[in-house]
Amino acid sequence: MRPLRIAIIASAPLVQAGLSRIVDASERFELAAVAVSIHALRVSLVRQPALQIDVAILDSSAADDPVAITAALDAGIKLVLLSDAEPAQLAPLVAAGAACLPTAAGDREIAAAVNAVGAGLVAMRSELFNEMLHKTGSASERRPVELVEPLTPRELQVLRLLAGGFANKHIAHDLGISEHTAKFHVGRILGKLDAATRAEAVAIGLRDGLIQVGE
Amino acid sequence: MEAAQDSGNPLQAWSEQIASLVEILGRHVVAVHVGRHETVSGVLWRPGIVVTVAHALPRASDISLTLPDGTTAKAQLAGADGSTDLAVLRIDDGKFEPISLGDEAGVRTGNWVLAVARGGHGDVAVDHGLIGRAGPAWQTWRGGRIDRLIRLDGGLGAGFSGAPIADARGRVIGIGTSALARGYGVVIPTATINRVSDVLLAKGRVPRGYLGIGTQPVALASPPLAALAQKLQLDPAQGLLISSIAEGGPAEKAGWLIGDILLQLDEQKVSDLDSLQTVLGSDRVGKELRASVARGGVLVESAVTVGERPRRHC
Repeated sequence: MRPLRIAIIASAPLVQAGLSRIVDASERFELAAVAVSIHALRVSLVRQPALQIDVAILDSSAADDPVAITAALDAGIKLVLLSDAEPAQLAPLVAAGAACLPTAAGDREIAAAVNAVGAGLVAMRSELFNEMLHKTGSASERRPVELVEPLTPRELQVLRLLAGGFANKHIAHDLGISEHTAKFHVGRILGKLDAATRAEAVAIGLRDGLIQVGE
Repeated sequence: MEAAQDSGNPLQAWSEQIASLVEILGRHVVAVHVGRHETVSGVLWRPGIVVTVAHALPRASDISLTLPDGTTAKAQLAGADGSTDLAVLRIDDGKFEPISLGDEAGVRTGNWVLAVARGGHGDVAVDHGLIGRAGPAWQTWRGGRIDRLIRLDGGLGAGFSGAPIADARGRVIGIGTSALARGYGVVIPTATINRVSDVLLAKGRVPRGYLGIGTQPVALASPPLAALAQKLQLDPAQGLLISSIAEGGPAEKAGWLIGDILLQLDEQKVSDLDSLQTVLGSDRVGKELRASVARGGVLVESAVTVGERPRRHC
């Protein structure tokens, strides 16, 4: 079998050295490139059209933004990501095909993940997988209930202001409508969401994803 | 089963037609052995010339092929270009039938296409699908120019990288690769194959335009720079700060200085690596380009002769 050509992306020389050792230890791997960031790897690849890599190991010390990582994944680059970021941050990268390991991962774990990604598989620790599975599961439970009559864009605006704790007078002023009209909108929202109070309407709105916290 | 020819059954006629297309296309398809049990496909593009994908090739200069007649042959790597994922192999083989080429310019989203691969045992495999997306020329992440965006509607199976992708008339519009996009097969169009293989056969590599500078994208935010950006209608208002200059390189010869901000090259904006690479295509090597540089907040015009990037061994 042809060895996998590996690129190491890490800004810390010690991490570069550590990862190189893992690559050198296996006959299945061949070190093809070392770079300090995804951008730097890309520059090397642009400048050396004959250079080929199969899998890149990206350490969290290489301060690449998720946009650069996603762009590389979209371009077909296979990545093993060493990161202690929250599962919510890692989920989109896993969905885009990156293997995710904690920075404390051992040699064998990293080597296994490189092999998996090289074969087109996704690899991660079972804890992370469980956490992601759990998150997705609860998200689907929280899927917004189908409203019999959906809120109009204006009513959504009013609901957001309600969430901010504003009184009808303030809402009216903010939207440039009369206080009477604002009160009418609030009444319609309570009716459509089947809420008894303004606070309950906001709670239902948050639960069903009509509005977000911090909006 | 009844004889296909006489049944008047349109489904059967359709099925027979596809099988005939596969048979004809298969005469041009070779298996390229890239590992003990792994193959990609290649196309007998011209007499003695096979084109295939670069991403899967082993580093060895001798590569083993299984030809359409089932025999094996040794091929020599003439050159590979990772930026377009193309590689060209030479073989000693007298037999060659001209391949029927289609025009990628006529490809439309939704067109039905066929991919014909050859496996390690010499057998032919086929897949089919629709053109999921067709668009204008594009640049790969590695800076290669692909003459047209032709994306398939799904992934390419193992061994189908390098397979010819043909339209319903059996005309080859390019070869497929799984390495230029995640989750989708992409067609490297005929025009790109012809252009890149000409260069690879002549030089063994695709030359890269070279200025001899290290750069960093910077926003043109301070008032004098913002005014320059507006004057040159740069969108985004961003340039490339020159952070290093190679000794004896084109930039040094043009009198550029560290700290200059490159704004335009050949009257095109150069706000990031992508736009710089677009201007520095292989056809620019040796050409003199006009450059607009901001130096101390003032616009300086100069001319720079694009060099060829020195070869580096990796």
